[in-house]
Amino acid sequence: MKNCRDIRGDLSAYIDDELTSPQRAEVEAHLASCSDCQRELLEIKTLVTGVVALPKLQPPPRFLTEVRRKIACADKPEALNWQDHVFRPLWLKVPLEVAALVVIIGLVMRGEHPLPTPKVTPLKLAKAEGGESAVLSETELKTATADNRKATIADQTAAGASGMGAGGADNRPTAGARRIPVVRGSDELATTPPSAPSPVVGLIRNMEFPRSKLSETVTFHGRDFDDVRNRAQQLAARCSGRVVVVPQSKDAPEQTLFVELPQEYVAAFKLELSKAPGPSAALAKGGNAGQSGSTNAGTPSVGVLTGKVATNSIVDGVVPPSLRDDAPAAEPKTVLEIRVVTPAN
Amino acid sequence: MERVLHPDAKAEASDRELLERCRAGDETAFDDLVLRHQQRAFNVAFQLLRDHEDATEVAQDAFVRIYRSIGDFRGECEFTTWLHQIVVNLARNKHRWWKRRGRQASVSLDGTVETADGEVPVQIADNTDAPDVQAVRTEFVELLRRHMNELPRKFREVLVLRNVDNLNYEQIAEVLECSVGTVKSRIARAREALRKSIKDEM
Repeated sequence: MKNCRDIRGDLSAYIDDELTSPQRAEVEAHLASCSDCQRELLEIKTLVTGVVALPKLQPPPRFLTEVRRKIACADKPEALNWQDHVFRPLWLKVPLEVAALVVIIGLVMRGEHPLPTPKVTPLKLAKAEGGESAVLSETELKTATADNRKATIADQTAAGASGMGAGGADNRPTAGARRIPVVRGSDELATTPPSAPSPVVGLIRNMEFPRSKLSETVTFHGRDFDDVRNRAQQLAARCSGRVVVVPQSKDAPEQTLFVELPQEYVAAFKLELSKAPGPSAALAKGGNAGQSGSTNAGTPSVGVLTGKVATNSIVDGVVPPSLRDDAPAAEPKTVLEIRVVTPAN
Repeated sequence: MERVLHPDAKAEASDRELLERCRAGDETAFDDLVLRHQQRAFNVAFQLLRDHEDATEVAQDAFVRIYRSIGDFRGECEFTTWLHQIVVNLARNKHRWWKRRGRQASVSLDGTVETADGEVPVQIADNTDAPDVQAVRTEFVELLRRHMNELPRKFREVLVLRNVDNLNYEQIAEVLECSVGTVKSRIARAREALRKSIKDEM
C-alpha cells in the first residue's frame, strides 16, 4: 500500500493520464480517503491548466519566405572576396607564394649589395661660421661646379656589375639602365641621400654609429683612396669635423669613410673634396697628399673652410664618442658616408 | 501518367507523405510542412527562450535544417518529434549563447517586438480554449509565466513540451532522448518546483 509521498509522486502522471490501469486505480483509492492529496491534486491541476493557457503566439509574417531565403542563402556558394580570389585556388596560390619569396630574397640581397641610387642631392650653400666670411655664394657655387661639371651619365647598373667606377672610359648610357649624374673634377663625385640600402649601413650599426646622423652618401671616383682620405681629413679638421675610416682591404675596389662635420660645412666640404688636391692638400699635417695619383688640375682651394681643428680627427675603425648619439653635441653635426671607388687595375 | 490530386488530398496529406514528396523534389510539399508546423515550432521556441526574435530565428533555422537533411530522415520517429528535437537543441544552443554573455531572457507578452517591418506588437493566436481555461488566463497566467522563466532549463523543456505542445511522455522521451521514466519524474519535479516557487511568492 502506497503512502501519501508515493501517491504524490504519481499525481502528475495521473493528471497526464500516463499511468497504467492498476496504478491509476491505486491513486484513485488513496485520493478517496486523503484530503491532503486531494488538495495537492487540485493545485497541480490548476498549475497545468495555467501552463496550457499560456498564450499561443502567431509566428511572424513571412515566416515561410524567410525560411526559403535562408535555404537559398545556404545553398548559394559563398561569395568570394578578394582574398579568396587570390589565395583559394592552389594553382594560383603556390606560384604567387614562390614569386613573393623570390621578391623578398631579391630585396634582401639588394640590401646587402645595393646599386648606387640615382638621386642627387643638390649642393647647398654653405654658411660661414660666425657669418663673417661667407664661404661661397650661391652664384660662386654654381660657377665653381659648372667649371668642374662635365655631366656624365654613368650606367650604374653596368658599373655595379662590372665593378668599374663611373670614372672609367666607357660612360655611355645604357637604355633602361638607372642613371646617375656625376660631378667630375679631378675625380668624380656623386652624392646620394642615405636612403639607399648600403652594406656600410650594417657596419655603421655594428660600430654603434647613429644612423640618424647619416645625411647622405657621396660616391667619389678617385684614383687613390689615401689621397681622398687625407684631403677629407684636412678639410674636416678645418671645420671641427672628424673622419672615420672603415677598415677594409686595400685591394677592395671601393673604400668607405665617414665624415662628421657641422651641417653648414657639408656643401663646401663636398665642393672642396671634388676639386683636385691643391693648396688645401698641402695643409695636411704629415698627410700623403703628394702621393696622390691625381694629376688633374682642379680649381685650387682658397681655404674657404675655416674653424677649429679637431685633435683626434682620424680614428681608423673606431667611432669617436662624439659620433654617438649619447655624446653631448655642441652643435648639430651630420655624417657623410664617402664611398671612394678606385678604378680596377 | 500524370498524377492528379484532389485539392483536399493535399491538405490532408500526412507529414510522412509530404516528406516523401519533398524527397522526390516537390518544393511545395516542404512549404506545406512549414505552414503546418510553423506555429508549433515557433511557440515551443518562444516558451523556451522568451524572446520573439530568437524564437523566430530558432524556428526558421529548424526548418532550414530539416530541408537540408530531409534525405537522411528515415522515419524512425514522427516528423513532429524530429522537429521538436531540432527546436529544443537549437534553443539550448541559444540559451548557452545567452549564458556566455550573461543575458537574461524575458519579454512581456504585452510588449512589442522588433521585426523587419519595424516594431510591432506581439501577436497572440486566436484562442479557442475552453471557458475555464480562458478564466485562468489572468494574473495567474502572468505569474506562472514569470516563474516558469525561473525554472531550470530541463524543467522548462518538459513542461513546454507536455503542456504547451501537448506531447505525451513517450514523445517527450524521444525528443529529449531519455527514458519515459525520466520524463515522468522530471515533469513531476518540475511542477512541484513551479508550485513551490509560486507559493513562496504568494
